[in-house]
Amino acid sequence: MKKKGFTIERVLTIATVVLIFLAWFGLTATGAFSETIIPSPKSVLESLVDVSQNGYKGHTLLQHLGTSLKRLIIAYGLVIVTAVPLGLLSGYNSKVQAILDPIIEFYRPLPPLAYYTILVLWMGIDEGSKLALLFLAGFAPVYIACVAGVKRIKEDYIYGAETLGANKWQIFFYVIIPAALTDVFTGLRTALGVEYTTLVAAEMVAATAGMGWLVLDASNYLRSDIVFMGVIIMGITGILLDRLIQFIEKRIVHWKGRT
Amino acid sequence: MKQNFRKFSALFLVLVLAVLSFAACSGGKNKDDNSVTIGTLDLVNGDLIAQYEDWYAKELGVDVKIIRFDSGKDINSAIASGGIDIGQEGTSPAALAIANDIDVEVFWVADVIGSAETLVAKKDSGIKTIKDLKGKKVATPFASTAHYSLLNALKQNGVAETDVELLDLQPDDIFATWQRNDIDAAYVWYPVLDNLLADGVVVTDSAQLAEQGVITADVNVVRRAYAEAHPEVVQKFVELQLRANDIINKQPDIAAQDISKKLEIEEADAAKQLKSFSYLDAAQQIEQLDNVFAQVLKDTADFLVEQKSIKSAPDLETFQSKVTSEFVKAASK
Repeated sequence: MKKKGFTIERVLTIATVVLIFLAWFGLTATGAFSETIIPSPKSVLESLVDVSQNGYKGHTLLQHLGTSLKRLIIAYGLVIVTAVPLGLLSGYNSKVQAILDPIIEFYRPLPPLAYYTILVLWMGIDEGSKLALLFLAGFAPVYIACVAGVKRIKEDYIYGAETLGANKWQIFFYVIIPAALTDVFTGLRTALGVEYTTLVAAEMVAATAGMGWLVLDASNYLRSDIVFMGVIIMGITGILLDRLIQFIEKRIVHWKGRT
Repeated sequence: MKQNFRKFSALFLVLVLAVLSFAACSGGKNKDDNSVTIGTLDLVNGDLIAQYEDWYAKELGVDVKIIRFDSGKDINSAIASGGIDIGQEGTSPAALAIANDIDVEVFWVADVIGSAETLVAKKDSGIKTIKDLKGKKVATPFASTAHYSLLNALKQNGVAETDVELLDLQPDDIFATWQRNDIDAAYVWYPVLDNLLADGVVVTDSAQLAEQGVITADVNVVRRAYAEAHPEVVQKFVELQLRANDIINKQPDIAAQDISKKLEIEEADAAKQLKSFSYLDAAQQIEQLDNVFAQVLKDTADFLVEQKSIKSAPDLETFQSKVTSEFVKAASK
């Protein structure tokens, strides 16, 4: 970390954002594009005010956002309690890895929509199938990052601990886990991104609320202003969630970059 | 620092050029471009016969590209972006397109929907009339003609929408959830409709609703810019549709054969589906396009406003200016 505040990078970031907004204003002000193709910032703002005051199709904006975040957080919680321990174990024990790897390698590259119909058939149209889809989307990146994190640990650490008389479990808990944490968090960040991108797919079938559903339903009716609004809100929440994880990471892995 | 600045300005220039060229590409085709891109939903009407007999490529006189879409919503997006020139869609998406100021003209009524779209309830659900739908789970693809029919059926029978649990499901998902008993009823079309009828009962269908004034149909739309540049292609297109409708109405066996081969279904199924629509000849087309369809589209758009799905609907004159019988008239001379 160099000096904070005024850096050329920061200026460039801000300039990019401002430029995009100016281009948006400029393009829509020319009137060359219809509201369906590029809605003006004004109508997007109006739809934001309208939806936050009157809601969209029976739910307020906060309910839509809340529903989506609830799905996301439950699925994310499930990923953390399953993928992290399984991933760390796989990295540590080649037999566990031999069992889990084929399953994960197989489903990981599959597009979620390809198997979503099967999940719906198995688990119904309620929350179950949506959570399962989000869970599967988040599981693989965390698992893989955990395995990689353990494999990257310098063998000296493990030998060192062994020489000092640590048993397998002590090594696992006191050497492996702390050393792999940086990679675990990288996996967690990736997983959150992937889950977020899967959210719209998860809310495609029989949802009646949620940000993904809102965007899909608005696009059914060519309401580009609401689609833009939804996408912008999802983008901002995505950044905030990512920042939150980075914040937690800094608290837990405070030694990052100093090993 | 200076060098840095130069690097950045170069990068910026590249970005701007990239965006501009991207915008130029998506800006639609040239006027003198000698081709037509047709968007189809593979609905059971003359379009399928024309496709199976390869009339488009042989007789339109320009390079033909046919793209299959899954819903009228996608056809609308494709037309708005200039990706297709002629498209087929239901009256609901067509009304949406006009209400959203997408520059299209409705120039052909491909079919009028009869029992092809039906509200089916599970046999053991106890649903016999529309009033029985209260408190039940009913699925339909939102923004479709079936959705429009379902909402109108509820309204006409005094059932509030909030009393029914409406679910937005695509036909395939409707079949899946039907098998799991997750839904009690569905308003849907073939081929899924056939599967549901095996253990379902008919509550109402679009033929009955049409008698009460709720008309749904599939229509062809053309980008106005394309129609102005290539009126002869659109006219020829209509000629082919007229020829196909003639076969459907006068030689239904041949029509069923063609459609069964195109869709890879049983001939009997194709024949049954053909009977669940009605197909208009030239005189009926002109009568309907001139006097009925602007109002049908206006009613549909007004209903969508009532549903708060769209902000506002244009007046009847706007719809009249977007529905034209000129191509049918020219083609049937």
